[in-house]
Amino acid sequence: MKSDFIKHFVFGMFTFLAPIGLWAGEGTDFPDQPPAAPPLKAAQLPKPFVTTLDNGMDVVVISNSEVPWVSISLMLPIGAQLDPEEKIGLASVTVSMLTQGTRNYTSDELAEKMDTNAISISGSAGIETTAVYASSLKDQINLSTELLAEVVRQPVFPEKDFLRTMKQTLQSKAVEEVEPTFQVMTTYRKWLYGDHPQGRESNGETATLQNIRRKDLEKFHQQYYMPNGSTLIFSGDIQPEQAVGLAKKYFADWPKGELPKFESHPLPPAEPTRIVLIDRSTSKQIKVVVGHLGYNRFDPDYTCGQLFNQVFGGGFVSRLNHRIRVVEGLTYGAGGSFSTSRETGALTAFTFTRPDMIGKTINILLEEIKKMQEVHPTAEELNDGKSYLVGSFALSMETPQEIASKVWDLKFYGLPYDYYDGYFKQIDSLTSEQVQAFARKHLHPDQIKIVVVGNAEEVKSQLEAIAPVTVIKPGEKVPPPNAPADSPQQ
Amino acid sequence: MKNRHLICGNVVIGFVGIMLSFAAVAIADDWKYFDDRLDNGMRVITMEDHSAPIAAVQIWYHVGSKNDSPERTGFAHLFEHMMFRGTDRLGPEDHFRYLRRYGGNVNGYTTFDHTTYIEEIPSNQLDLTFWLEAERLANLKINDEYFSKEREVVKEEYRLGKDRPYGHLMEAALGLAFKEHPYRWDVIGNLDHLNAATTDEVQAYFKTHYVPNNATLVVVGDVGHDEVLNKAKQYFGWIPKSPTPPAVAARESEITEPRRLDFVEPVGPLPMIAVGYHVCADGQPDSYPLEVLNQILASGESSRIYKHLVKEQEKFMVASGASIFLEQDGLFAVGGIVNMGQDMKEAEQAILGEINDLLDKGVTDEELQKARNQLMSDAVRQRMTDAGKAQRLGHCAVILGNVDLVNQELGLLMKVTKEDVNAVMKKYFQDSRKMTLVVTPALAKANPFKGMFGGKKTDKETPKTNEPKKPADDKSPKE
Repeated sequence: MKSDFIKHFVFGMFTFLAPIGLWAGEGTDFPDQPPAAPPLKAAQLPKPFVTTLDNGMDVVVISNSEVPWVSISLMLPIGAQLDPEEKIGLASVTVSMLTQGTRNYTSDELAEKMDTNAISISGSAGIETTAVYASSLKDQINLSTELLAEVVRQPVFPEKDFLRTMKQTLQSKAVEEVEPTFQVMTTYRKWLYGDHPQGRESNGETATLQNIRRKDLEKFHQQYYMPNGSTLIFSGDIQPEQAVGLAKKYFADWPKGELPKFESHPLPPAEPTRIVLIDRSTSKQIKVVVGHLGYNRFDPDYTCGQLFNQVFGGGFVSRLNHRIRVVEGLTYGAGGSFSTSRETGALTAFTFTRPDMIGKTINILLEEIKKMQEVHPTAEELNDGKSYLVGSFALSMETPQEIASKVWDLKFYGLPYDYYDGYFKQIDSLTSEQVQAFARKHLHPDQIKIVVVGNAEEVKSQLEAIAPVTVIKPGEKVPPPNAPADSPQQ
Repeated sequence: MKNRHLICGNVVIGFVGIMLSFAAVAIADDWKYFDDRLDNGMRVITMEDHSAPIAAVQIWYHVGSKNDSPERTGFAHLFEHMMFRGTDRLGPEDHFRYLRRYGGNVNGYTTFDHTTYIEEIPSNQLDLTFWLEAERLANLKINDEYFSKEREVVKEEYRLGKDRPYGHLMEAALGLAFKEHPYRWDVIGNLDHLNAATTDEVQAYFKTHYVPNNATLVVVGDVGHDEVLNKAKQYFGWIPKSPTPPAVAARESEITEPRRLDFVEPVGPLPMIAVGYHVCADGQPDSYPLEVLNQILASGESSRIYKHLVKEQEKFMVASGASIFLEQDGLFAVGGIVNMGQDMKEAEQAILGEINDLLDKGVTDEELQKARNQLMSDAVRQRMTDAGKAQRLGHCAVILGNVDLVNQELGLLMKVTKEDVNAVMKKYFQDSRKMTLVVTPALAKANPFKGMFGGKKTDKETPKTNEPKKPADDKSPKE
């Protein structure tokens, strides 16, 4: 049992709001206000070692001997944007098949060799880029580089392993496709981007995956896997000399290819605010995503957008989370931001709530978007956003692997290695008025696309009070705006 | 909650993983941590790492879902949320706000055995971080308004989890494995229980469990030991000691007859099968051979389960071993996701065949060596970040009751022999102790690869629902 003394104060404090300080460490050196130290200056991205092989492959080395571990990332500027329209998922299946058999190893032999030597090799394809990673203890670095080169350069895509991989892929997809957050996000992206590659699921869609054959993988690999345009990044306990030696040994004789030309793709026109409701009768929680098209990574407003994101929907203290979770208790999380890619970008905000509160929640989302135009950030919002961007940058460079991913980002967008110096200077100079001007320019409160997943019968009337509603089935395409609501869609 | 027994500890260098080379293990530096206690009973564990100007701060309260009352399951987790609501001089988002403005990451999580609050900060913000943690430990504000708001937030977290495919599976599996011990409910608990809870109960919970003598402060990073200890004294030392919170006395009885649960999955389209056994608690001597066994079964695509069941027989989409080691009990299972169109009985027989084969023939030298190589590699990888190291220190101190295990566990794993692995299998994997979980999708879904591979046996119809016996999710709360 606690002493009566403590009981008295604990209950006294909460029941009668006893004056602060009684129990809060009075007479000790516990301060009554939080003691903060001044923020640190912006950290610098460590300058990496960079060289280029004769075949055009860049080699980057980020040395750090804190632990005897080395990661290698091979980054390629290819992805789902190159998939034929009827075979979306091809880039992704190709990369997952790289370790399933090569000229010198069967799938079983390769698995045995990697597992025995505790080498891990994996890869993934996004829309614009593909990455293949190898990692191991530093003593295995030679074998690890050799196997990485083997799977990237000489995969043979055996039929039996291909069929198994396709079954695994399609079944994972079947699970993914009944997940409500996935349903709401994919429907939103396809509606937003139309036939633009950014609207694709980079790991494919059931219907298009079914069209992929073994020969397609071979062809995709021949056409798009090449050293020129790619970057090999060593990060961890390795010095540049050794890394470059390994890169030359295993990749120098990889012949150059012809890089695919970057094609521009059209985007759908804007339309007045409308709601698409995905009918999922089993939902006990309603998910919603709202937003519209934005700007690309090269837009001069990109930096201001990063600060806007902090104020609007980045993290626990943003306006969205504050209002929807903390003040209203409507959700477990709410967030939103402008994201960018090479050619385009989007505003996307997401949250979820119980069925009877979905109307209220959407109205708050729409209000907060408008409010970013009407009410400029307070001094606290502005300064907190700035210092968060500066401080979190330092925290995000603890491991050499984290630094490697930042280096690749700069390389992919053709930005210089001292890019962040200018970026943080610009962040520092931004004013509330500039953030508000950004909001006025880039937000379009009357052209919002809203996607909701839930039991249509239960929530439809709440939604109709906000904007016109079109009900679709999961996986169904969003019909054009002039189609009558509820009409059966193909 | 953790699904794998994470290993950190001595780093092995100079090891070359040649099969069957039982090379002498070269052990690198031990972790040089300090383990102190303030006068009020609060434990302070520190370790210096000056490689980056940052620090990981964690406070481990030794209270988790196993301390929940059976009428108030989910309480530990709900309380974790309340800890962020503030005090009289700290608003409901201020804990986040104050640290985020310097780039810090803030979070908390609840497991079966403990509740941990996490900060990753620039190392010059230690005063602020300690102040925020001490302030809420001493002065947390609990009132009806805060409690009812936060309970709504937790309900949405609950629904977020349960709305997903296989969202009710965890509670069904726990209900199969545990009949007496409070591990029988999931950490998120039951909404009816949370609805029935009162603000007074929250207050009483705070008073009982959130006391300095039930807390362990772990700091790893670019800060000196003396500095951390002095600041800990300044910020936490004045908070009075309280009676030791009651320990959980319930223990699960030995299983004497096989158990089976046929679970009808309402959303997820794929069937699953797992066969499991109770094993020992985390950190017990048997846990090390079991961990090696888990590595052997789950170690990538060359593991025998994956190779046989997925690649050769094509009965499973994925298959593996899994261990859950908890403070007072442990579970070990072998299982996987069954390929659509496969006969469930045959798939179950295939799993049992693998288990029996292991029991009869034991594991091989090659498998043991492979597991050792991977466990060493994992150990190195897990010491890359301050947060990873703090996690390991906290776990060994609070859950295993011996912080020096951070420097002993890898050695204990490397000492495991084939005979040790075979002995624990014989000890635990007995038919009379077997628990079988069969998951059948409620909705028959068309094979996505039907017709794709030209008349292969995968073209069979998808299995229909097992006759819905007692729906295993009948415990799910009414909302």
